[in-house]
This record gives sequence, C-alpha cells and structure tokens, in this order.
Amino acid sequence: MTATPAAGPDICLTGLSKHYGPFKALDNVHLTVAPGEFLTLLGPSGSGKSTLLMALAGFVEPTRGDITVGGRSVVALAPEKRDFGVVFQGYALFPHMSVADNVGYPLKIRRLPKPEIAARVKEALALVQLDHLAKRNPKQLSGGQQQRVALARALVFSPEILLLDEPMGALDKKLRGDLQMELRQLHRKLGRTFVNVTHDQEEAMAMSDRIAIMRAGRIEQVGAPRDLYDMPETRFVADFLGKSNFLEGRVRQADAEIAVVETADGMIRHAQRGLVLRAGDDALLALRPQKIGLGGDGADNELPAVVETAIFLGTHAEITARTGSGLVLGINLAIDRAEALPDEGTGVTLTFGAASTTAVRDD
Amino acid sequence: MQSRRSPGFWLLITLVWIVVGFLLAPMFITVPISLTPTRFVSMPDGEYSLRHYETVFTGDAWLGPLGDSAMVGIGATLIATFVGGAAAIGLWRIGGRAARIIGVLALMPMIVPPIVTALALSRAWVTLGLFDTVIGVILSHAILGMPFVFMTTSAALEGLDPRIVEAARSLGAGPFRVVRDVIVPNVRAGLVTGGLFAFMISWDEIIVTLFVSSRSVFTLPRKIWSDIRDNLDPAVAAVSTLMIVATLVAATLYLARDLLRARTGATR
Amino acid sequence: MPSPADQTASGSGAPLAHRLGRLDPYWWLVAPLLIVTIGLFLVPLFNILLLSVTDPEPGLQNYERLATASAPMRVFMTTLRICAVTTVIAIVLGYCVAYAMAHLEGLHQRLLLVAVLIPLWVSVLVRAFSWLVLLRDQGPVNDWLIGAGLIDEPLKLVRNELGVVIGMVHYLIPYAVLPIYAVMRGLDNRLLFASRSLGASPATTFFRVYLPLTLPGVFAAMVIVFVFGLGFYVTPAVLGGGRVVMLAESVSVAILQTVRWGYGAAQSVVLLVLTLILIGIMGRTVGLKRGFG
Repeated sequence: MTATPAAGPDICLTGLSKHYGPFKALDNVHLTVAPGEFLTLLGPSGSGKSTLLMALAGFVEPTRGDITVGGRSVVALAPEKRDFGVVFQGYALFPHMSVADNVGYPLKIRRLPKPEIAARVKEALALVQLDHLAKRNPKQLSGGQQQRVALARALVFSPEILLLDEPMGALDKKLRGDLQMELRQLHRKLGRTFVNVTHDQEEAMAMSDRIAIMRAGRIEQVGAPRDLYDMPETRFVADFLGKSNFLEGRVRQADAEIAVVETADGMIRHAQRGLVLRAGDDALLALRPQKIGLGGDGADNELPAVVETAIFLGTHAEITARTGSGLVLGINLAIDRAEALPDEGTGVTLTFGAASTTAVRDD
Repeated sequence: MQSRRSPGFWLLITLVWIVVGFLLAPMFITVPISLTPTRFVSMPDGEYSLRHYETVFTGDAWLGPLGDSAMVGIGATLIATFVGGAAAIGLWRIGGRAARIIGVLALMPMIVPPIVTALALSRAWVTLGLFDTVIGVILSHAILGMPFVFMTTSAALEGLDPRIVEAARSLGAGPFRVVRDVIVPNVRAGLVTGGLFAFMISWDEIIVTLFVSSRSVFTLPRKIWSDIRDNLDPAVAAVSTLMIVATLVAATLYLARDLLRARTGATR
Repeated sequence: MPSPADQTASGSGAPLAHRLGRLDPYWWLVAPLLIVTIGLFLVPLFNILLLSVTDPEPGLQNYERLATASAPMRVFMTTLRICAVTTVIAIVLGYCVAYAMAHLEGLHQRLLLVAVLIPLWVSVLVRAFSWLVLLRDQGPVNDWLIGAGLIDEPLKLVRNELGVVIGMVHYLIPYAVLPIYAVMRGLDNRLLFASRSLGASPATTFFRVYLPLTLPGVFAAMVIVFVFGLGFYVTPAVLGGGRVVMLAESVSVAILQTVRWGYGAAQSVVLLVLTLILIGIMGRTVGLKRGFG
C-alpha cells in the first residue's frame, strides 16, 4: 500500500432508481465518479444517500438503471464479488474476533498464505496507527479506534474503491475534525476512489473533491465544495450548504451583465452569472449573510432595515435585521467591522454588491 | 405497593417460601425412598441401602432404556439444533412478512397439545414405515424440540448488528460463509441453550413416544411410565434421584459459569 | 423516525431478495424447517382432521357423538373444571412469587429464581411419581397428619381430582411465575412512587396502578397455564388413578384401547381448536413473544 497516482476504474450510475412501493428512495440518479476522486454524497436523512451507497455496495438492488465500474455493469454481481471496501455506519466490527482477525478476515477469504496475511494486517494497522492494539477485542476500543480498524479492514485487500457510510457519525465533534484530516491524507496517499456518505456539511466540505447534494432520492447538484458554495443552483442547495438569505421578485430589465429585480423592498441589481435571468421572469436571489455590510458607501444595493438582534460571537457578530417589507435577513459581520455593533432597534442600511447575489431555482 | 419492610411484605415472603417448599417437595421425597432397603416403596427407617441403584445399573431393564433415551436425545438434539437454528438465521436475514408468518409456523409444534401431535405422527409414521423405529422417534422428538432452538436462536439474533453480515459480504464472504464465520459464532449461546432445551424435552418426552413406538425403541420415560402403572418400584425413585442430581449438577455448573464470567468481567 | 430509505440502507435485515429474479439464498437455510414442519407435522395434523370426518365412515357422526353422548361431555366438563381450578390457584400463587421476586434483591431473589426454575428441569414423570408416593394413604403426608393427631383416618389425597389438581398446580406454577415476573421487571417504578406521592394509599396504589399494569402478564400466564392444562396427560393419568379422565387421556383411550381412530381424532380436533383459539387471543392482545417469555 504505497502512494500511487490516481488510477483505476470510474464509476458510472445511469438512471438509477429504487422504489419501495410508491416510495422512491432513489429517483433516476445519474452520477459519474472519476478514478481517484473523493466524492461525498451529502443530504438530510431520508434523502437516499445511504440507499445509493448500499446500491453501489450491492446490498440494495436497483429497481431500474445501471451501475458500471470501469465500463462493466456490476448490478448483477453479489456484494462479495464487487471487491469494494466498505466502512459501515457503526463500523460493524466482528465482536467475536480480535482486531488483527477482523483486519485479516478478507485476506483469509482470499486464501492468502498465513505469513502474508500477518504481514499485510500489520501494514494495514500501521497505516491507521493501531499496530499496538492488534490483539485487543473490538469492544475494548474507543469509537475513533474502532473507526480506524474498520478502515484498515476495508483497505487491507487493496480495493480500487472505498465506500464510507457516515464514517464519523458515532464520534464526538473534536475527534471528528482530527479524523477528517487523517482520512483526507489517507486518500491522497492511496490515490483510490473514495465515496463517502454524510449529513454533515462541514465534513463534506473538509474532505471532498466533489460533493453530490441529494434530496428526496435525486441528486440536486454536483460540484467542487467551493463551486457549490459560491454557485448554488437551487434554493435547497443554497440553504443546505451554509446559510442563505432569499430575496424574491420579478425581473424588470436584464442584459448580459446586469439584471434588475423588483422586490418588495425595492429594486435590486444582480450581476448575471450561472442561471441567466430574463426580463419578466420570477427571480429568487440567494444572498450569503457574510456578503452583507452595514452603512452606505456607494454599494450596488442598499436596503433600509431595523436591527432585531445583534450577538457578538468572538470571531464574528451575528445580526438579524427586518426590512420595510417585513423580510428578516441574517448578517455575519467580520470582527474588525463589528467593533461598533449597532443597538437592537436602531435603523441601519444593509449594503451588498451586485455580484454578491446568486440566482437560484425555487423548488 | 407496600413499603419493603412492612409486615405485609414479610407475610408475603413467608407464603412465597411455603410455595417454594411445595415446588421442591417432590425432590426431597424421592431421595430417601431411593435409599430404602425394602423391596417396596417406603421411607427408610434408619436403615439405608443402595440395592435399587444396583438394580438400575445391572441388567438391561434400566440400562437398555437409558441407552435408548441417550441415543434418541442426542439425535433429536442434533436435528432440532441444525434445522431450528438454520431457519432462525435464514429468516433473520430474509425478514419481512414472510419471515414473520413462517416464524409463527415454526412455533406450532410447541403450541399444539402433545396428544394431538402424538396422534398425527403415529398415523404418519405408520404410513412412512417409521413407526417403532429409532429414526421415527428421533424425528418426532426433533420436531418437538425445533421451536425451542428457533426461539432461543432468534432471541440471540435480535441482539446482533445486521451490518456485520453486510460487512463480511463486502469483504468477500459468500452468503453461507457469512453464516459459518460471523453469524454462528455470535449466536452460539442461543444455539446451545436451545439445544439443551431440545435435549431435555426429548429426555422427558412420553406422550408422543407412547404413540410412535412400541417395543424396539423403549426410552427411559416409557420404562418409568410402565413401572408407575404396574406397581410402585423404588428403582423408579433411584432413577428419579439420578435425574434430579444430574439436573442440579447441570444447573450448578451453569450458575457457576455465569458467576465466574461476572467476576472476570468485573476485574477488567 | 428514519425514513424507509434509511431503514433499508442501514440494513436492519435488509432483504437481498429476488436478486435478478433469483431467490434469496438464505431460503436454503429455512427450507429444512419448512419441509419438516409442513411435511412431517402440518400434513399429518391435517390428516387427523380428515380422519375425524372419514373414520369409520364419511360424515360428522364422530362430532355428533361428542356433542350428544354423556361420557365425552363428562370428560369435557372435568377437563374444563380442573383446568379452571388449577389456573386460578397457579396464577394467584404465581403472582405472589413473581411479586416477591420482582421486589427482592441480591441473593434472596436469585435463590427464589433458582427454586422456581429447578422444577422445570425435573421430569414430569418423576414429579408425578413423587406426588403419588407423597400423597397416598400410607404416604408421608398422611403419616405425618396421623402422627400429629390431626386425623384418624388417612385423607384421600390422591387417585382423585384433588391429587390431579395438586400435581398440575405444582407443574404449572413456574409457567405462571415467569411471564408475570417479566412484566413486573419491566414496570417503571416511578409510576408507583408517583401514585404514592399523589396521596394514594399503598392498597389503592396496588389495586389501581400496580395490578392493572401487570395484567398483561397475568393474562399471558393464564392462557399458557390453561392451554398447558388442557393438554395434560401424564399427571391426570398417574395421580387420577384412572378415575379422573381428562381430554388428552380420553383421546389416548380411544386410540390405544378401543381403537376408534375417528372418535379419537375428533376429540383431538376439539382440543386443538380450543388451544389455537386461546393462543390466538393471546397473540392478538399480548403478543406471542411476550407471552412465551
């Protein structure tokens, strides 16, 4: 298990659906995972992300659609024939085997000679820094240690693809941060394809090359974390990945660069990118809280509002303000500008640039 | 609820121990009777003898049935454990409505009154040529024992994380290899307990046995049964005592193991 | 509540069923039980049903005889009477034992549990034999009563209904204790403290809160004890001394002595239907699993 350049098969999902009676757990999913990529399926519970992973692993048989790995369809293959490493929710370590036996199990099944099994188990445990616990029983390990054993067990037989089902789900927040970094480093080192499932957006942003956001059995949007954050295509994505304020209105006039949207609080200038707005369209603009400033210094847009709450949080301040139409907007102010925090009840002018808003589809 | 130390509670405790005395009374009586020096059933009068144990252990009158019972018991236990345990594991994996319905079906031999089972099997065994054969008796006892193995194994499976099965499969184990490598080692306690139940049921079975065998298979309960009906023989008390002692030894070992495990667990 | 999608994904018994039209391989593990239970148990059972309306000739005359003749009616009434008396005694005593077990701690409680469990492991024949010896005219009980000057003549304690009831109560008490005990252990004691704190007396608390809460266990125990009692064979045969004929023995007599298969089969069917109805009621109300502890 030495560092290898990104290589191996790509994974292709085409029109994948899974129905339970009238309930559509997966609804016509299309997705391609590049070799060596770290892709995260992110979504709220019930969005179908775990079902998708289990369909990949072979435990959920799709109602329709195909899964190919390196161009070869795998839907007809039993889970044990797919050769994917899987890290399960709760880790699913065998309680009747020692740590070393757990990790050695896939090699035993593959009938490797005993000395080689021992050597590779040792190597895999060293990779996750657990070589000193080989003889322990899984029950005697902490949550983080169990996760590493599960990781070593899933990697020891050198699968091209590793599937992770909420690998951090059972861990406390501090530990989670450390293990996220480790997992990312491990991915860089091994150069294999990782497909991860989580409902934690921070975890997804921290580890992934790309994120697929899932909702009600469908993939809502796929992209690099930064792109998803900056250019959400739908209201759901804009609000699920970080918080957003939303301004609704109708496009009064539009050219290639600027669209003017009439809202209940007046005209808003929006720099065109992504979803193109045309005159007469209904428009929904997403606006990140940290893109809003207080006080007018010649910004593209100005909205008068009254401060409802203002909370100082050390690194930044969180303010909510109500506009004339009754819309409540959230504002994050960086600390240097938060020195003079406005009092609750005072009138302020909210300012933001035309390039700060993103036009998204409503849903 | 009454407070723990109220007189009413202690009155209840007294009553409860009288009930316990009633429950244990038969055991206290058989031991002295088995040691009586007389040929007939009586309480020994200061004089004890092992002659009835001698009767039991010499000649075929008791050793024959003892052998038959052991053979039938072991055979029935093996079949019941394999069939009942395998079904519990299979249904656990399959799940859903079908599994629930079959689960109830599997309990039927325990629910149907033994005399009805006896009648049914008696007719069937005659048709199949199994009447009064060792195989026939073993099969009928296995049918009676299966529900118990099924129940204890199902209970053990309830505490098992189904994901360890999926984990094993993702690591390359086929569906049956998973059973051997992962499921069975984790439900061994349920299988053993169920097997123990199945053996005790076979060892004690009389009603069905009466209807599916006549002479070539003659189990211990059958021998006791015919002796009780003919005349009261202290040898029956001797056999009873041996069976009670065996039960107590087994129970003590079981408790001691539990206690030992609790202690080693505590030192960890 | 996890959505259906999450439930399957987390694999709680996730069905691998019908992979590409093929059957789940785990059905192979269930197959032996299905074959044995259906082929060697249910089919023979169905045959008995058939026999009851075909032997000695097609028709319902076996059932007609059961419904009209006095002998089978007497057997039926004896069976129900003994079962009812036995059930009441076993449940009352069992409730007391269960209550004590649920409210004692440590060694005392464990001793009680072992004392209740041990008889379960002692052969029903051995127990019947022991009671026969204990209760007969020259037995220790009568000897002791005469020796104490309480009676002059030995009491008729066995080879009658009394003997049968004593033997059956003895057999059935553990089966009454276990389901009731299971329910009592599962009770939330805070409910009782709540009742006491609201000013209810201990007696009121017991009758208005504790007893109703433990009734499911009592009900399950009643059904189990009654159903077991219905099918009793050894104990009545040994301790009844031929004078107390219950349903099971009556079946046996019809088959083994008078060789009237159809008549015996009809009685079996009555016994079976009664049993299944009672178990069915329990399954609906308490749940089979809880009932069988």
